[in-house]
Amino acid sequence: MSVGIKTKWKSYWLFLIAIMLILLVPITLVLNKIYDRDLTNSRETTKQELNLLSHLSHNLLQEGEYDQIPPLMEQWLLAYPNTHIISLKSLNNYLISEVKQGNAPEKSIKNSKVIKYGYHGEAKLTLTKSIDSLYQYFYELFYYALGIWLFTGVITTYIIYSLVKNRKENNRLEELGSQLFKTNQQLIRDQSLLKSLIDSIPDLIFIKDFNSSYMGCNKAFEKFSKYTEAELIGKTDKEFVHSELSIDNVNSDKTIINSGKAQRHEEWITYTDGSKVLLDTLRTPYYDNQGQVLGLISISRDITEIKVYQEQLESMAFLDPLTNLPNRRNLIDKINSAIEHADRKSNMFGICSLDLDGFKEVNDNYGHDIGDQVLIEFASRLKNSLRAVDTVSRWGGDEFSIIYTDIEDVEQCVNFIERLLEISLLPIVINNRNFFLSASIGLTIYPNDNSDADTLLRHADQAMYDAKIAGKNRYEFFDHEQNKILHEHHEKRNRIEQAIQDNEMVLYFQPQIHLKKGAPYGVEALIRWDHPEDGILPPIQFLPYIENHHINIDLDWWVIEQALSQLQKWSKHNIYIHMSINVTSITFQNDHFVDKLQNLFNKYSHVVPEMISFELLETTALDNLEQVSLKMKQCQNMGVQFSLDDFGTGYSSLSYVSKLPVNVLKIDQSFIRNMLNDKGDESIVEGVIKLAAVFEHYVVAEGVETIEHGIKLMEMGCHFAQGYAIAKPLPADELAKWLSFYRAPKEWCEFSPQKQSIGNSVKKNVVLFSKQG
Amino acid sequence: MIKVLISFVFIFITIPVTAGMILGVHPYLDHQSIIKRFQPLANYLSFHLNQEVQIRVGHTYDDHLRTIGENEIDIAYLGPASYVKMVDNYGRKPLLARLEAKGKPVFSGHIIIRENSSISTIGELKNKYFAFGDQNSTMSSLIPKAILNKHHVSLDELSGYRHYKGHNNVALAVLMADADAGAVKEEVYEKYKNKGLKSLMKSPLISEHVFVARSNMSPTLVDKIKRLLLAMNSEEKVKLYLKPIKKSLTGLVDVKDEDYDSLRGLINLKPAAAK
Repeated sequence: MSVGIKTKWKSYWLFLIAIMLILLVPITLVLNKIYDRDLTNSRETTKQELNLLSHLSHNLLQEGEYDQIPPLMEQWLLAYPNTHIISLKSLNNYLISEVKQGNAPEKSIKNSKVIKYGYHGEAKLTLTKSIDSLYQYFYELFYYALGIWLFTGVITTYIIYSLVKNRKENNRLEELGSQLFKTNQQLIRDQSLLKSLIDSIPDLIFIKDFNSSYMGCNKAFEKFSKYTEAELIGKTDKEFVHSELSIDNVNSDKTIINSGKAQRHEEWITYTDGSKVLLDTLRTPYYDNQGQVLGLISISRDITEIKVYQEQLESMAFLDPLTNLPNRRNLIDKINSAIEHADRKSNMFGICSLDLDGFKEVNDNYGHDIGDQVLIEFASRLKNSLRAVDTVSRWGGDEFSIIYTDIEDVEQCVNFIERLLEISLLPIVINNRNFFLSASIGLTIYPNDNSDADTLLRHADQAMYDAKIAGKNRYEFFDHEQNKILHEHHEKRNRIEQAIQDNEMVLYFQPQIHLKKGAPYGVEALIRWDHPEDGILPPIQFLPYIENHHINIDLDWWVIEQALSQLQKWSKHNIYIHMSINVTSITFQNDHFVDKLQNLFNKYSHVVPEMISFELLETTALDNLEQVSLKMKQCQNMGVQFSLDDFGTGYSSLSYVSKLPVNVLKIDQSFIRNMLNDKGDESIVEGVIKLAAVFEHYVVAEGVETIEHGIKLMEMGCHFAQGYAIAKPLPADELAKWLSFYRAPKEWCEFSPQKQSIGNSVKKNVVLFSKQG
Repeated sequence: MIKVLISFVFIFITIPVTAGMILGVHPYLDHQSIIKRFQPLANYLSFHLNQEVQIRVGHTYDDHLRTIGENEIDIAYLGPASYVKMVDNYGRKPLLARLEAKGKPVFSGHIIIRENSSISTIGELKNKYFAFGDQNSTMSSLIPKAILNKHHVSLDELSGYRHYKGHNNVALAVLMADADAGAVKEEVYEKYKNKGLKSLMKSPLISEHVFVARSNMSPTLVDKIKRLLLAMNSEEKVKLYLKPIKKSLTGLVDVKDEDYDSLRGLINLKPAAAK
């Protein structure tokens, strides 16, 4: 660097430093002023807050409400987030309260004040407030100031530099010359670097001029062509390859040069030793600064290995690695092809799903290696049993699918399937050991089953499972009707679930009366579906679709909650009535039943648990009677009662009665309805009533449809009744009216001496069902 | 037609006036809080007695006692001191049940002083400042006053005294040296004893809060209500009906008037004559 330039830069830096120092003074003064002011403000604010807090604390201390001090301090912390600690200590050093929030600040202000109260009370209130935010603000301010200081300094320096520049013009040329020299040196170095780079690339690279003469190439091309770069430069392909190929090459070069467009292609090249390589070649024109084409560059890459790998991957994607049969992905394509073929030819094809019976035992007893060999052998047999137009594929495990195409009738396919069953029975010999298996085959025929590829496979699979269930070593056709039913069930379940969410379900209530007293004692809650198109639907039209499904549990809980809600509403109108609620075993046996029930009672606090009785269907299978019994007792401890519904229809009546802590037996309506005409049913009803007496249970007769039924039941000693002779199920608002106006039939009242008077029967409360009662 | 008309007449005669019962509670908290705490129990009684049981909160403690004494309330809830006072003024009422808290139907309190205090006897409390709790509180007001009296220390002989709101504030007053001594219930003493307090004297065991019936209630109904209350012996029923009243309750147990004789002895009342 010249002396003049050095001098210039030195004075420039000195001047810059001087300017920066001068600017530093006012900036520092301003920052200091701001700091002092804000710190003073913080101290003042803290003092005011302390005064206010001490005033509030004083009032509480004065009133003797010491236990209100901690809540006051907690509230203070919420209102003043910068406050870190507040403490109040009595004169005798008892810490009345201390509260803190946040981590200990780096900077804080602490203030104390003595509070005098009462007769001779004294306490010291201390407030510690964080001023970290103030310091944070200062740091930010400092950086802003620093930025301004630097910016000002740079601008000032630039102005000075511009002024100095004009006086140093004569130094510019000298500097330019020096730069040109450096640039030339740089170019030489770059060229050498580029050549080294191109030579290091394994791809075949050469450059030709406008006349297809070689201008240069890399080491890889030298090795490929067996000519050195020096031998190639200035020559065309005419001198190196036979005339036909050289003409092709020149023509190809001219096409690229004249069109100005790059070309890419793959070509197999055979070496003299017979080995082949696949080259991916790109040829592109190159231009001068004016856009004129000067020649072309060719780059070729050996992609032989990549191609081989690609083909292997494709093979893996579509073939089963163990048996080399087409896999599922491949099979779907083949089924689609078969569908097109069958539509075109107006014929049929069969899709068979085959599962080997007994294969699992082979794997378990002899190991997977033997299992694999069995599969390979079986796959081979399957393949050999097919025609060329047929396809067999393996899904995985011991499942195979077969497409049997070009058939004219179903019987043709059946004959084939029967042959397959025979083949499956033949022993498979591995390592001199005989393995005896069989097959379960599911079958569906297109276009009889006019479905898409995936669905056809699924149908065949379903039929295969039917064959397995039916006893194995057989075949089953896919049943369309059953499939249709399954779909319908699924859609119905979805609709029911939607109905629950859309509040289309309603509760109706059927009254139950105390026969001897002739007065209502309770109701049974019954679910109905208020369908927007079909009107009020009874449970038989929708409950079977959700049996043992989780929707059943949701619906049960919906019913229980609605029942409690209704009882609560009635209680506010002074109607206290017993309610029976049906609950399924799947809901009752759920682990959280008791807790959920407790929560509902807490929610509907006007409902007393003694008002509730759960009806369990006697025909319901209960998994663990001991567990169920324990759960029932937990509910009974709350006051809830239990009854066995539809009693007499189940197969385990006596064990349930003796083992479960039920309170009531409900005789199924089928016995009640016929008891006046059928001696057998009459005996059953009488027997149940006597059985109930032995176990000290109450009895409710369902389906009481006539006055005569009621009289007969009273003769037998039945306690309660429900049925159309009393009332049909009613909506909530109608039930309330019914309770007010109900009168037992005169014949029943005359039968029993303990009837209620007309005046009492309109009383808001009714006879309650209670064992003590 | 005529029968229908007659029915209508009966309906309009019988419906408007409901029999109903009243459960009375003393005003130890604000009105709404007491209603909320006792509502589940009232619902339980309503259901089993087949009539609505309404809750009535007395305007004052004296008002509550008067309504009980004059049989305006069917079922009354009382503290022990209020009970003995009521019996003394109005005579015995049929007893239904008393509370059981943490397994016991009795509770006690302490006269407390600071750990480093030189006071060793009740007599030395003369010329000292005493912290009582609410004026009507059995354990922090009535009983300690009776104890002081028994030890010949009248209120005038104290250097001063003050009624604080709640037992906690009594304990804090002593700890902060605003008072030289105070009176608190057992659980508050247990809470603060490791913070610088000690017990000068423990009060005798006092029988818990009690439910009584009006004196002209039929014996059958009294017996029924009693059985209903005493039937709360399962964990589930305690949780539903008693815990809302007080979290430490574990049940309701039988009670006799003699259970309050120790309290009577303390506050110089004679045992009430049996009727």
